[in-house]
Amino acid sequence: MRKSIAIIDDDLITCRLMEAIIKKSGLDVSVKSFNTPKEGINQLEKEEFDYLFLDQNFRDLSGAEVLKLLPESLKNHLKVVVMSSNLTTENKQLLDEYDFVVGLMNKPLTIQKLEHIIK
Amino acid sequence: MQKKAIQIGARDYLLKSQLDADRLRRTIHFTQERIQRERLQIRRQKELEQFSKIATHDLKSPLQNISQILEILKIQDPNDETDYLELLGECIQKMEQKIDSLSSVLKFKSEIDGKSKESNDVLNVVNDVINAHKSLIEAKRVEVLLDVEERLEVNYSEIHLSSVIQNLFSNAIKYGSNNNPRIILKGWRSNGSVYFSCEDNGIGIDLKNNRDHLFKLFKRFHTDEQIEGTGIGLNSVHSIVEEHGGKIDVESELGHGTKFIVKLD
Repeated sequence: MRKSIAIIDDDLITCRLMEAIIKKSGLDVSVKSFNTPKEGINQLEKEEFDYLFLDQNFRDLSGAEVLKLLPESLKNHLKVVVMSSNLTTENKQLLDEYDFVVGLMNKPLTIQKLEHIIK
Repeated sequence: MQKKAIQIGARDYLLKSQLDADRLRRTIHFTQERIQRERLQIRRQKELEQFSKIATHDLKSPLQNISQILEILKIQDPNDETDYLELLGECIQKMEQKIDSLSSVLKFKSEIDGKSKESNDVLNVVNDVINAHKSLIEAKRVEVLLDVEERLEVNYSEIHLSSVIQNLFSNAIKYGSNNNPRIILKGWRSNGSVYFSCEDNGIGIDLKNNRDHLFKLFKRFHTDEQIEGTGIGLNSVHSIVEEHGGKIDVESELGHGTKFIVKLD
């Protein structure tokens, strides 16, 4: 069954490139990217996504703070993967703290990583 | 008594003689100086940690985009017309810009540490800053109201005082209102300290979410990409003011404006 992915990252080029690799992966997935947490969360409330690839560091918020802003209603079905440039112990705590955080990922996204997450 | 003093943490000096009022005053003075030096050292250490964290993160992100492009190029796709070379160029340009701004921050920090303190008049510097922005003030039709007392001398070099006032003033213009922009500059003395404030009626800052990050390096609070900024200005103001024993505070309401109040010394 087709899986849908939302990306929230404040770097426009990162969003564009991640969309590109996901589309080229040959996997049965659809993808949309959002440039700010606010924009992303708004859309997540309107449209059902299976996965959220969430950047760990924004201008004014950390990924952990964005996780707190996610509405309760999303937490039952949405699986969150936190993306970071370095996996710190602080990030690893997010895995224990939130059931809906299913993984941490070091950028860049590769097809192998994507297959591993989706399957 | 000396033994007791060592037990409770006396570290500056200890004399085997009677304690008189003058000696006590000197002891307290030395201790205050030491504590101030230690605080400054701790703050610099923290700033350095913050700086290296930001440098690592900001340089890593375009680098990751470059490796992301390499991952994409591994996949043969004749239908993909994206110009990845152009994107690579953009990533490299971003890294170069970041390195430039990081090194300008480092240069600035070493300048505040090294400069000797001279004394300057707030009103003179405010007038210089306004003159330097004259064409921008006219182009944006900004009404500038000036209420700065005369003879407010502070122990700041001209560069530092000008940098504090200039950064706050140019932010007030940059993030000012589109309709009837107005900036109020005030300077006064209170309880022996000199204060300066810069108030605009512009777009404001969401302090509820941003107060803690306001003076951090490379933080920007307006997602509007149309307004250019590097996220260095407020951090510089904060560093200069703290280095001179002052304090900076902010009041703001989204859509109504922002007021920065600086206790200069």
